[in-house]
Amino acid sequence: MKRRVMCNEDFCIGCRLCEVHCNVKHSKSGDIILAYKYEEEREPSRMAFEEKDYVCGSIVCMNCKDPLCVKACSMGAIEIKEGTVAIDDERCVGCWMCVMVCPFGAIKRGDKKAFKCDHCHDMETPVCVLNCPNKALVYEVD
Amino acid sequence: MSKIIPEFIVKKNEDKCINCKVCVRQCSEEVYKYFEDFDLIRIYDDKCVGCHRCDLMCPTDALTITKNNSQYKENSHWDNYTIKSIKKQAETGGMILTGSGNDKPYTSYWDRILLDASQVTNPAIDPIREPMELRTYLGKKSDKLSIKEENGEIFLETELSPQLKIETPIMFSAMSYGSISLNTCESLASAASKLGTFYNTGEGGLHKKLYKYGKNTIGQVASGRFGVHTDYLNACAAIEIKIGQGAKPGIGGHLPGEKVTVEISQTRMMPPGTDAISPAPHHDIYSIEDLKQLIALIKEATDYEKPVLVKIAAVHNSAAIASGIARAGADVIVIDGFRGGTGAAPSVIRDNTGIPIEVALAVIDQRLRDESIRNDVSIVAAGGIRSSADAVKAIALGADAVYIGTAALVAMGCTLCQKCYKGKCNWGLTTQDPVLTRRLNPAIGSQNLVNLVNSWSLEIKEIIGSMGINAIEALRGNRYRLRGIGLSDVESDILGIEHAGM
Amino acid sequence: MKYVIIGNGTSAVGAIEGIRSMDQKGEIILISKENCISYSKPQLYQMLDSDDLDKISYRDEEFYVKNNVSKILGRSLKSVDFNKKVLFLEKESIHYDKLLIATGAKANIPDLKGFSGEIYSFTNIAEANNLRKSLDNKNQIVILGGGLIGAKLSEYLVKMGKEVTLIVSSKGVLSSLGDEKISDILNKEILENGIKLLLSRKVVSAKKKDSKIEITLDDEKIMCDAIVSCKGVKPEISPFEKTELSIGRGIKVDDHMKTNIDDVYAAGDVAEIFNPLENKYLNIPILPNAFNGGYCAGINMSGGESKIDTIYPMNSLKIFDIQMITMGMLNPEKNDEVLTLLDSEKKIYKKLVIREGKLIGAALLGDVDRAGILNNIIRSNLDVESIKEDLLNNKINFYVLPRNVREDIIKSYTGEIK
Repeated sequence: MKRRVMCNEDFCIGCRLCEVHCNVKHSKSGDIILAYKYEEEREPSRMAFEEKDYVCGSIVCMNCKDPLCVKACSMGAIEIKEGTVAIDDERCVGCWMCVMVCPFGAIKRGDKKAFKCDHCHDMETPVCVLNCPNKALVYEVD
Repeated sequence: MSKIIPEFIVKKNEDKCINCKVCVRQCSEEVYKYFEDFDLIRIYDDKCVGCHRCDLMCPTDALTITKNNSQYKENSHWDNYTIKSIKKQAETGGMILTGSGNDKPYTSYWDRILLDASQVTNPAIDPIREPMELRTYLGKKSDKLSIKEENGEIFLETELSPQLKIETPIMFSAMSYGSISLNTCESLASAASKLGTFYNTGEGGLHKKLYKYGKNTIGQVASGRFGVHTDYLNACAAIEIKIGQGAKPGIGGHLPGEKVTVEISQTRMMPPGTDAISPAPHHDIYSIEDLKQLIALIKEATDYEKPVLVKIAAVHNSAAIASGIARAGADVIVIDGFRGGTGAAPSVIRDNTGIPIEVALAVIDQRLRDESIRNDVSIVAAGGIRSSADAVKAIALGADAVYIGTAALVAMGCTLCQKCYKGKCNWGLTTQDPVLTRRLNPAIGSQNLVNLVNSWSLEIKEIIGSMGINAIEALRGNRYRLRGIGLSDVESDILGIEHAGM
Repeated sequence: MKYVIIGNGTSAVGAIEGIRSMDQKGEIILISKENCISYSKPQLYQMLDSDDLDKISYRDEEFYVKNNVSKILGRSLKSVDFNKKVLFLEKESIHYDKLLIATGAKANIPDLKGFSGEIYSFTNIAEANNLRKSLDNKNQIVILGGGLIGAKLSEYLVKMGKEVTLIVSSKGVLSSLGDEKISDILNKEILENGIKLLLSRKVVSAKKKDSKIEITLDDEKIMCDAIVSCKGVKPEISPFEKTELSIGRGIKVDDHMKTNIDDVYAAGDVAEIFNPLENKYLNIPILPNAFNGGYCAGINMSGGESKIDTIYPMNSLKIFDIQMITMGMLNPEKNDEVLTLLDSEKKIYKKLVIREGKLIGAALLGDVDRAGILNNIIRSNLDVESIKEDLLNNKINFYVLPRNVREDIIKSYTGEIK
């Protein structure tokens, strides 16, 4: 099984709602207003939204066939679980070797630990894809 | 003093705003501006056009766009729109432009016509249980068919005129690539092909990407002749000669140079960055005889295989003109009523010129019948068709099919802010700005159009079933199934329908 | 098929995964001098706090069970007969069909004239434990060598409340990167954090004086309680020195991680890989290279075909508050183009080295986010002529790359685009 969130950049409208919904999904309450206005700590979005001139798009972990991050992790804390590249929070020490090798820049640096898209593993379709108003984000499961 | 009272007030509910700035990023009119140093989203009400992109995109519904209650002193003769127009013109010295269709409170005859239904003596038909036929053929119908039998096989001897087969009597009206984005054209084209109907290129030519939808394309030839060449004529399934447009009868078209991108210039065959001006008349058509020549020319160029449509705006003498068009050899007459939309028109023309489609349609149908040439042409009604009920009423008044334009745009996102002429359409429809055109994903646009036409078709079947009719053909010109409500005798007479109760 | 792996470090783990991706049945035997689970060398610093090895475990026990690996731990290799394919340990001998040498590297300990006491080092678990146990009654620590280990160890020790003197023979810490600016920034950071930094100094001799150690430098004498040598590592080649194995600094391998002897492979810190671009063998002892080398060897040992990418140095490290990632060659040659950006206030430094339109090296200090995009540009040998200013001046951004390049990257790492 392989999961991939693709951004069709022709139709990315740069609204960044994917980031908003990603934040909400990974907040404590799961409610957009509570998450943004009342929860004290909110982890940054797991998406990497980028733009250049007319082109923009969201980058999330692409679940590479042969992930470089898995091989570069100095703690062996990254593995492929059910088709998703997953970082073991307990073991990550924030050495950023994964950040150094990810060809998409999809792994982000948290306070002390690396984090990335978890493909909303408890849902059938990730929230960014569900909430993309122009269906620029497409979820592919093989 | 150049300031004009803003039309809308934008309110942001701070209890709900999460400062995600989607409004800042989405508003092409720059109503919202984010100041990083102050972490503040500043709102400029005066720039708001009321398109509602922001509040529909806002993930917490924190925005409301309301009418500004602060207006000039109420005056039923000198209303606010009039005062603002005068002020604007006093400042600029220019015409006031507008987009979309006539929004003035003229009588809508659709809303004064009611439909008949069967009771007891002529049983209604249940469209879920019984087959209903919406398929329509547009084109000249033969008076009689002669059949020949040879060796036990039967042959049709009469040579049939070319026909356009549509699976439902709804087509997408002309909107040019230039006035609308390529993604919008593609949405229309792909929906037409999925639905088994047609869309129309307007005067924008046919982009290379859209040739594959040629079988469902009506190619327009208008006064500027933009994008017209042999491949174009042959790629399209039918050719429409545009004489006039309902929103701006007697007015030509003007696509400003800044909208003429490289791709548009290639498609239209003109230099990029120059204004695309379509003259008010065709300078080679000053009479019905001239029109006849152009029709013949197009037929000759396309091997007499493609129907030729002629589109006129609904005006006072439409009936006589229509008779001429039929006699000039057109296969289909398109009549565009005064509610029809436009990418850009002087507001004074849009709001004051032309006549309602209901009236024009009724008189044209009657005139052609009176002259016994109704079967020589099909009639397509356009301009402000809002629902399946309008479409059914149009067909009962004498149309073979209808064109929808504004309704199609609304299906793709349009909220009728009427600012098409500015080229900054927040929904990515009437713009060429690459940041904005991507806002319409043709996959979504096309699906929405398919859904709209499918639901109208279901409703049409339900309506005609209720009349006890099982084929849309049987309703065409069947004005007996219509009744007027609140119509004067003159109106009833012209529409050719009896008043409710009669 | 019987695979034998000597060593239990990163490349051994890579090799196990490589072999098992091809051959689920073959027997794998792992021999290691160290009597413990596989642990993360870059995280060895954590062992200064406690002896809890689990904290830095690289693969747990289950990994070996799952991959059906028999371990022979705490035993060292005495000699090898490559002709007969036999390994001799202290007591037993083991036959192999395919052999991977992944013995890693050991610390360089300098010979200090006149000093007979212990010089500590910090390259493996035993050395780390030894240092930790000795630290309690030692306050003044001298660290020799301003490389990666030296710089990082001084940070840890100073945070533990020790009085640390870092003696560097070159002009600055991490001078091997070849970028003076980086060294300057790090020197400053290290000084600001209370480490006594002695640059361009040489240790002449050392001797015990009462309970202290007196170190004589070229121009002064300093007193301390302990000396830790961080003068780099050298490949652990001792069991093979007198064999027909081709050895330079390390064991020479080709781009398939194969040595000059059939069925014998080497990977990790012990190996030096032939680099066709520079026409020489390179030994770059960093973790991703070790894993990739091991993985590649594993595939080739088990009948597959895998070629190692051209290796180049890369590292991610943090010295006090300065996070940095360096990749590729930072020491430009005459015709190379160098682009730099410095924001002293935000402690941001960025350097790109471009040779013939291709990015060959990059350093990021301060803001290292999305460094992998640059790394991929180096790895894939992409043309950056038209985008170099963007790469330098803006935040690193995937969309700076031309569309066809982006699509190629997506295809090559994740498969076809629908």
